[in-house]
Amino acid sequence: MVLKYLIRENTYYDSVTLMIITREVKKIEGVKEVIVGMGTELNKELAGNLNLLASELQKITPNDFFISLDSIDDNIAKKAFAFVDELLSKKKEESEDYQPSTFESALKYMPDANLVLISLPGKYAAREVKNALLNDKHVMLFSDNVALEEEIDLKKLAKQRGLLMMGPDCGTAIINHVALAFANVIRKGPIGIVGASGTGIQEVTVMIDKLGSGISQAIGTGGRDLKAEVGGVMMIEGLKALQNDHLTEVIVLISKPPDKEVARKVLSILKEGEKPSVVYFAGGDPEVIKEYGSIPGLSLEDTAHKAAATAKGIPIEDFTGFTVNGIDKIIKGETKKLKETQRYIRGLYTGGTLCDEAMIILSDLIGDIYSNIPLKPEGKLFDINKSYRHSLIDLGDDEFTRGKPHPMIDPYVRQERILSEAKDKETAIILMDFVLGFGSNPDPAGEMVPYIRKVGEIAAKDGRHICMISSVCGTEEDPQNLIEQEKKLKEEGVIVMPSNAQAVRLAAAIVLSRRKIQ
Amino acid sequence: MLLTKSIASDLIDTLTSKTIDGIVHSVFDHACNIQLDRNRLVTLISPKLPNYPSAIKLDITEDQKLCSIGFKTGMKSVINKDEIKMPEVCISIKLTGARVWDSSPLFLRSNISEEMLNENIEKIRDLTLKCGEIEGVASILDGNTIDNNYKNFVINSVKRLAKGISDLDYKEITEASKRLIGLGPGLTPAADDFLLGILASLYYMGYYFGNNLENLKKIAGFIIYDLPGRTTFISEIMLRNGMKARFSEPIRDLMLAVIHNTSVQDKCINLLNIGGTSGSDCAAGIVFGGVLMAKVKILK
Repeated sequence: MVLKYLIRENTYYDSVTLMIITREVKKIEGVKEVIVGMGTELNKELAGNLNLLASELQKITPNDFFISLDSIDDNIAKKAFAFVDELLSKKKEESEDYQPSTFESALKYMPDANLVLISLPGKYAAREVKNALLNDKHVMLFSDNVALEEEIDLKKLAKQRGLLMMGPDCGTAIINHVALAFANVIRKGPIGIVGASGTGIQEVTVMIDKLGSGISQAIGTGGRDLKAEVGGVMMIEGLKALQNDHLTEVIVLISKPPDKEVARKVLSILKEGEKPSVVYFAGGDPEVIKEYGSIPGLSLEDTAHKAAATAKGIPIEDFTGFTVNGIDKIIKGETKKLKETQRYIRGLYTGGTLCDEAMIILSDLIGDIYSNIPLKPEGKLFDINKSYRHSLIDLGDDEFTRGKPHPMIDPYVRQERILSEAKDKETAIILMDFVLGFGSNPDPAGEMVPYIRKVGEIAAKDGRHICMISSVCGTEEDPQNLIEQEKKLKEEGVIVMPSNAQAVRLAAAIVLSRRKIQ
Repeated sequence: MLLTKSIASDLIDTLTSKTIDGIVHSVFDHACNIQLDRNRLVTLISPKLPNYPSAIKLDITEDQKLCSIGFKTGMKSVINKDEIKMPEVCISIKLTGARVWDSSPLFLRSNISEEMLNENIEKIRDLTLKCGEIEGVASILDGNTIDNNYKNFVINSVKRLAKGISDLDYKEITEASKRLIGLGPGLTPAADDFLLGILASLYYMGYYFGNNLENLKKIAGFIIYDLPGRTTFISEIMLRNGMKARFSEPIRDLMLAVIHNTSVQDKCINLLNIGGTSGSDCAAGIVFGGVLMAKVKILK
């Protein structure tokens, strides 16, 4: 008989843990008897009755936890206690997974942190942002629904204190190579980005990575930063930071259409610096950008191409073509499969800026586009749940996400919508984006596969074929893996293009090719 | 600042405008015990747990573990009726505006037959043996088929306690309880949970049979007469509350279901799901106390 015991003074474990310990220790071959409990008089007496009471156990109190066991030899006892230790340590590790519940406790926990990411319901966010700024912390504010006046005040405060206030509604940033919120795994490099658009930053950084270059920083500003009221405060602070950053050689600015005066102000500050810059102001006038000495990007992809070329010191050209072989054959083949009634493109987007970019390219190539986030007021869909002619939908817009997760996380809205598009006999092409990276759904392509199959089945019943075109915004290093995601889509007959811009141009080319036949 | 969903009514007297100090006694995934002094306790619980006496339910998500908020054993806290502060981790828990959960007993007259009452108690026995964890003292319900150290240890004391209550022999009640209090694994030892179940049956079934509540309280007092130092602090508080007929929501709900013949099965399963063996040990106590009260009916 080998009697061994363990005492932990003033230590308490929940009864489930103790039950598991008792059960598991009893299962160990060679353990003859075990008692687990608090050091109450009766537990000690029971231990004595079972010949498990070592003299040390006599001294313990009801506040002390003990285990006492009888085994056939010393090794078995050691094995049993090692196992108990493992179980209790696991419990302790779980307990130490500290998540501060207030800004103050987080600050105390990690006083050296210099950036705070805030994601709270919008109406509560401003107070915490102010608190962070007053404690000299940079802020990334993920929350939306923050009042414009609050944004203006907070950005003023940040500027006064020499801090960045990225947001509100800032979904993407990569600071010192740490991806914040929705961002991809991008290699390090000489290109620094300031963007007022989450998926815009994602698409450009991903394309830069694919082109073999990398980024130094990607600073988000929130979508309203370049509005007249806000005045581009954070874009200016961000680009100044990049101008002073020795790792940044090329500066890229990305934004939805900015206020004209704000755009000029930003461009003039950009001009003051010595670093070359590429600017993509969606739907903006490239000539204005050229006027200030910057290089205009024609699309997110073109912006990435130009930034990468500038960084490498190679000649810069506009990129508006395809990098896929046999594109004419694809266009011809798909056109042939479409029926006479199938005339329209239906874009189901999870990324707002990708949807914007698609609308800009398509409206140039094929005419009017309808949307829930139209380029012009007359393009607003009467019913956002029902497509009309060429319709491109931003499924991440507030109207679809109120009370629901964003479609980059939960594809439910798109899964439903794609089936109704499939039933519409006028649908010729379904255009989709798939955004990978941290924060996104772990398998966005896989989630859509069953619905893509159903689209095929629905169309086949009527003897139709629906052309499905997509692009995947991600890298091979992303948790979802670009190659695997593309493979899943290709296996279902989806045409996967290397960028959103190329996917959109392909869709336009098929529509134009059909028009010629008719 | 953390908000609270509910606060047990028995804490209203404890938490006044005067600020008092407390020490975090123990922290579990979904409960954090704050000791105020030798006799008083405040338990912070997550919404995952049911209400119980001396508990404050926090307005956090069900899956958030209390240790993740930063509560640690030994941490100081300052408490008054408006808030609980834990300066070490800069946590402030706002108590104002919380709903009050009434932890007092709910004695209502019932017209169900004794036969029905007995059937309900038997239902609890069956469910405990079928769905419960009988590694503590609940195995006592099984007669002779299950052999277990705790059961063997308590069997004579339980018989003595039954006799003591039937005969209103206070000395015997106290002596028998002394041989039960503090026995078994867990922060609330198994035999303590069993005694709590007996107290629940004593009060609710005793009331059904028309016993005077003061008499029942007297017996309950003798059951826990020798409590100090015999068990853990948390268990001591639990039994003291039981002595005042203050029970957790699942115990009270089950007793009301037994007395009024409503959804006994669901309420019993709720109780059995508590802790490791705690719920089952308590259910065993309810069966034991229920059978005893059905036999004795009026305690004279």
